[in-house]
Amino acid sequence: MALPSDEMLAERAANGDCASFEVLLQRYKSSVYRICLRTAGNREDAEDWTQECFVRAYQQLGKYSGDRPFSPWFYRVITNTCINLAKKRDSQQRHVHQGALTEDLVSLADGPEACSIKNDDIAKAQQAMQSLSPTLRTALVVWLQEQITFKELGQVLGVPLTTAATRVRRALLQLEKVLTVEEIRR
Amino acid sequence: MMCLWIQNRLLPYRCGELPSSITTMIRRHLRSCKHCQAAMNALETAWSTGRSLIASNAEPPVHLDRKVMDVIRVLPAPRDDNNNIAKMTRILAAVFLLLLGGILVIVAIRLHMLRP
Repeated sequence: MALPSDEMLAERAANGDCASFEVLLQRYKSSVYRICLRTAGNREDAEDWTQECFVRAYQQLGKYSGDRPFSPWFYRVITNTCINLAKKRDSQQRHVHQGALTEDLVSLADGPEACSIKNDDIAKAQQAMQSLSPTLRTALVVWLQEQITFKELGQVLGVPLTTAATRVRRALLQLEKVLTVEEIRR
Repeated sequence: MMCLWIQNRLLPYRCGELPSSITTMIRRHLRSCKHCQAAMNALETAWSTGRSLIASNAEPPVHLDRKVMDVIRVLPAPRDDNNNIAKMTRILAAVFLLLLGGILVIVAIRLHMLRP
């Protein structure tokens, strides 16, 4: 038996079928969590942000129409939620606690190659990520994490292809610049 | 001007996402423009750095499902018909009251004008 499509599940969830939403949660939770993790920069916020993203998506399902593809609509809700949460946090807390950040990021590193990276390198890399504006950071994270095309990224962000590509380009160059400056300082 | 236009399209060009006419135009420009060639090289380096920073296989904590679903279960259905009917009723009642208010104002003005 074929598995129900995302669109079908979203339609059912919109009418209050929590079991259908739970299936969508299973399908998308890893992806959403990774986006939140890279955008937030620490596990604690990433967990809260992931929860917030799914709650927002559920609440907005009433506006979703099943004849449109679910994934771009869903990621649009996720990116908007992440941008808003990042802006809110940035305005509340300008300085991230260095010690806690390093500890968190060490545990974020995956795979054997990551083990060779020094803790302060990881912290600096993540600080560079956090130096990007929420809009640029989210565009970069979604594009690299989800490995989508710029056309798809444009649909997710609600902008033309070239605008999406420009945001990613600016984010990449800014990231490289911050890391190079850090390298020179050392 | 041309260089900026080209540089804003270097990533989709590199990913092969542009129409063939624009791809050809950018390829030709890159052959002749040292400035844009340098921009392309810088972008390749930055892309590689970005990939190494973002790549992750991190999995969400196991309790996250329950945490999310606990909140979802207490929320009203997004397309709640009863909720929609209640909303529509409130809107209609507001419109009716506005119309009634308008009619009363007009009647009051007319009565005032008819007074000797």
